Amino acid sequence: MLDSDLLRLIGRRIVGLIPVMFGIAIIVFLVFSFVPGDPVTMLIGKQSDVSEEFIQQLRHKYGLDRPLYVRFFYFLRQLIHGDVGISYQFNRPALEVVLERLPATVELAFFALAVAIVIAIPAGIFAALKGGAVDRGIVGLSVVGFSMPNFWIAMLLILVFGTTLKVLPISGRLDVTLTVERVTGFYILDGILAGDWEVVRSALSHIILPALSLGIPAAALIVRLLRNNLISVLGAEFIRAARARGLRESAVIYKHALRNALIPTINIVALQLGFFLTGSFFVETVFAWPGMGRLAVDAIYARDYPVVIAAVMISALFFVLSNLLADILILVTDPRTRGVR
Amino acid sequence: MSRTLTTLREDLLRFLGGPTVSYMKRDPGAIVGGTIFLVFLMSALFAGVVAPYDPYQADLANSLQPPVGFGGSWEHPLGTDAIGRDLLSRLIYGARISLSVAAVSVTLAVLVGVSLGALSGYFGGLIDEVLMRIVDFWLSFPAVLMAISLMVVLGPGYWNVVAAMTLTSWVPFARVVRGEFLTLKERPFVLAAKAIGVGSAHIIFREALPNTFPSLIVLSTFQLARNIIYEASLSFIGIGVKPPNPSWGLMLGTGRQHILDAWWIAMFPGLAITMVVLGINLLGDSLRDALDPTIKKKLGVVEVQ
Amino acid sequence: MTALLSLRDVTKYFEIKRGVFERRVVKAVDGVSFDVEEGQTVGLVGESGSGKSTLALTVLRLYEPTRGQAIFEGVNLFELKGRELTRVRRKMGIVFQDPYLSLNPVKRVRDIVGLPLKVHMPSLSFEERESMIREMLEQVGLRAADVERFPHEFSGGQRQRIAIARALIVKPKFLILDEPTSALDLSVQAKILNLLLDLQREFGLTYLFITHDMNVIKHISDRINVMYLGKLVESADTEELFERPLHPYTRALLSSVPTLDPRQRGRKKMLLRGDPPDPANPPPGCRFSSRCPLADDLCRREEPPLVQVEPGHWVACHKVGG
Ligand SMILES: Nc1ncnc2c1ncn2[C@@H]1O[C@H](COP(=O)(O)OP(=O)(O)O)[C@@H](O)[C@H]1O
Ligand SMILES: [Mg+2]
Repeated sequence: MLDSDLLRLIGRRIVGLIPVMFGIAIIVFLVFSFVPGDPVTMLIGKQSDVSEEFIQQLRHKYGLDRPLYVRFFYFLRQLIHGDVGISYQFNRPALEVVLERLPATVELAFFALAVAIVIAIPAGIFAALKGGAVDRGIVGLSVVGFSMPNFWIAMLLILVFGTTLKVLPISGRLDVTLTVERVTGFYILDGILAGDWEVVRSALSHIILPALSLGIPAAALIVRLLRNNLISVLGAEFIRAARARGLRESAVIYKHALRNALIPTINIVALQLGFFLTGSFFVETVFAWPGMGRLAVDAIYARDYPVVIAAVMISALFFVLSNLLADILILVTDPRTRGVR
Repeated sequence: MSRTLTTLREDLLRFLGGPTVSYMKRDPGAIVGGTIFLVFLMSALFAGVVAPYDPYQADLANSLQPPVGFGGSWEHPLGTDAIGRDLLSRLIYGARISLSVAAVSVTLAVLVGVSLGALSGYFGGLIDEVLMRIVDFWLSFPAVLMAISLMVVLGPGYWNVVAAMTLTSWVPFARVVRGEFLTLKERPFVLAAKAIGVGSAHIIFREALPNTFPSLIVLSTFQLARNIIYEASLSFIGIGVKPPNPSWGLMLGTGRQHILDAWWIAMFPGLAITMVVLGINLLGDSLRDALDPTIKKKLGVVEVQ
Repeated sequence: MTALLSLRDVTKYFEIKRGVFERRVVKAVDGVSFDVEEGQTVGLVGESGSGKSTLALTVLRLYEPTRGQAIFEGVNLFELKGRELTRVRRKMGIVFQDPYLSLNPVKRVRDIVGLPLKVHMPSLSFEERESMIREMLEQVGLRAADVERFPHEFSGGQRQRIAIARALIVKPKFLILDEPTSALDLSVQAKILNLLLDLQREFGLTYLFITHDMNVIKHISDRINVMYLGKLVESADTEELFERPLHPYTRALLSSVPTLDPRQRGRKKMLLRGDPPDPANPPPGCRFSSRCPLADDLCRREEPPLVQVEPGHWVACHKVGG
């Protein structure tokens, strides 16, 4: 499937990301250069015994006494070196702090995606094939699904599974009594690597509720798309032709219809990965999930802007990459877009 | 100008009247959605009449009262919060915040997005180049993240939320209007009007713009639902509307701390958000089908939070 | 006789950008000159893509001309600006091919037909305007009560009547009809053609009638201009052109018309092969040379000039006259 044309296309898209990320950096820089009170004031905090001279020195050190465009180039130069400043809370490079928390968030995003797919694909097929009341019911549920804020789903789940049924843990990534050697940062993977099934079991039980909270609205969206695509594909000419050739109904559905209905859906599924990263800002807060989202929210409270900027840039990068992934999947799977442009 | 506004209003009402209404009357989704939405709208408009209590009045003696049916009394049908404020009254006043932030920001976003989209689609050239680059960046930057960043900078507050919501929701309008204008301006009926001798303003406002109304109406409904969720999300993490305002998001934020001992504080505001967003989404789906089954494609997909 | 409209070297190139570096120039209309006499119907024929619509839209200043002159009542339309241009527009109108696209779907017939009145006679009261609209509708064979209705409530033929009413309501002198019947059913075509002829007599109109249908053109026009790939290749009075077509392209167009005339039946049939070449990349020399059965080296090298071979009969072909 992969030919040189396709590779060239993908290459061009990746190169196209450079100005996009550059633009995002400009936006982030501009937005955060309007933060009331500059970082020096923030650094010094409540200490009142600092001299005006020292403050000026600090301002000079951070380049804050320079014009905006000079500071922008300074910012960009730092950014290229992966440096967005020192976290005021942790007194370490902000990016390092954020990257440490990234695996927790990515792990969550992948499980949320799995949840979404596992719910959406059977439900979508079922709705399209059964029609009637089943279809209306599933479509209705899906509208409800994406009308719920994810952090409220989180609290509902906590209430039902955590405090009422008491079957699942409601905060953190792992039982406090357990530890695992950090290799990948994905606890489930680390547990498997260490052969520690206790860790794997605990990590899995912790991730279920957060993953559901993020996955349910996404599932709701995918169900509808898949159902609509499937219904229009089932009415299409080539399906009728396949039926006329006397193919078994199940073969018609699985071999022909489903494949064609899934192609446009894959794109949306990939896009969800990007949305999960921003969704994590809210869901991680509810579950005390020690990921990037929760870190960022805490940093907002602590006015630790370098960390906020780092988290925003990383989320944006992931978002852009998930868009890219979605485009590539479309290119690879959809024969119609091949050879165009 | 006022004549233009009058005819624009007529054109708009035409899309919302007659066949659209008769289609929606036969659509159960629209009826359910419309009813829910109306209930919330009325609560918001007449909060002062409907709400049994002052939403800000603390009553420590009656704190953490459970709702009726869970050990509470009809005094406080939905219970009270940690400082004894009546939850039902706060929810009713909350509808005001939620709906007004969303409505104001969508209105502003429509004005900004439609103006920029129309100019750029109609005149093309440099404006269009610049706008398209901006749109590209906006689209590669998740709206929630943008809203969060803006709120961090602006600080919490009602009007700041409105500003952040506006800045994050004008782009889809600009995109849709630009796209439609690109094709509309080449359409023979526009050439016919030019041949008659009308100016650009007439073409933009009287000939082209009314043709974008079906898309705009549908997009506005979905954007309204989206902004309600966004406002709640921002308030939930403490960078939206300021306490003690009864924002549903804020109530959820404080309710989170009581999830183990007073579940109702978080459950009811969440339910309210879900209901009103559901109502609007149902209305939007129905409007979309009623106005034009093909505009779905032009609008693309609605994003989830 | 005086020319109401004289086109001189009218030219319209479209620049199409593909990507950042690639540019293509489509020479849609390239140096076209002909006259339209007052009170006549002048035909403009050619295959689809030959630049007829572009010529019409350029003359009306709906496209910016690349070069040339269009002298209407002694003034060059291509030099007019702002107010002056708007004022001349009152004297000219256009009817487009597809009445499903040329009427704004969200406007009532009243607003569609009344627009020229609002632009050119702004001092009219609502009642005066209304009565003029209703009268015009009846003149084109619609009902006065139709003012309230929307375009989608009408058939194709009726829509074309609305478009004609819109074009005529300010009593222009000159009308461009860009294939006004080719989107309509055959039975409706004749009715619209007859309506146009009646209106011409009644209002003393001058028509530039664009079509690719040789039957229609023979029926309606006094003089015919033939275009191929943006160039004028032949121009003559209708009878002369049908009797003595000189350009091989014109002959090919005519031989596609079934005829009962015994004199012409004997003539050798000439059929056009293939599609016209890409107008962004026309063949060198005579643009018709790639499809012409008579073409030789000269044709492929040098572009033939338009020359008068008989009084009033112009042709651009190396193989004719000389
Ligand atoms: N707006 C435009 N931009 C670019 N090319 C155009 C445009 N309009 C017409 N053309 C090109 O000019 C040529 C002549 O088109 P047109 O005038 O519509 O021919 P006709 O009316 O004789 O069928 C065609 O090759 C067409 O593709
Ligand atoms: Mg044409």
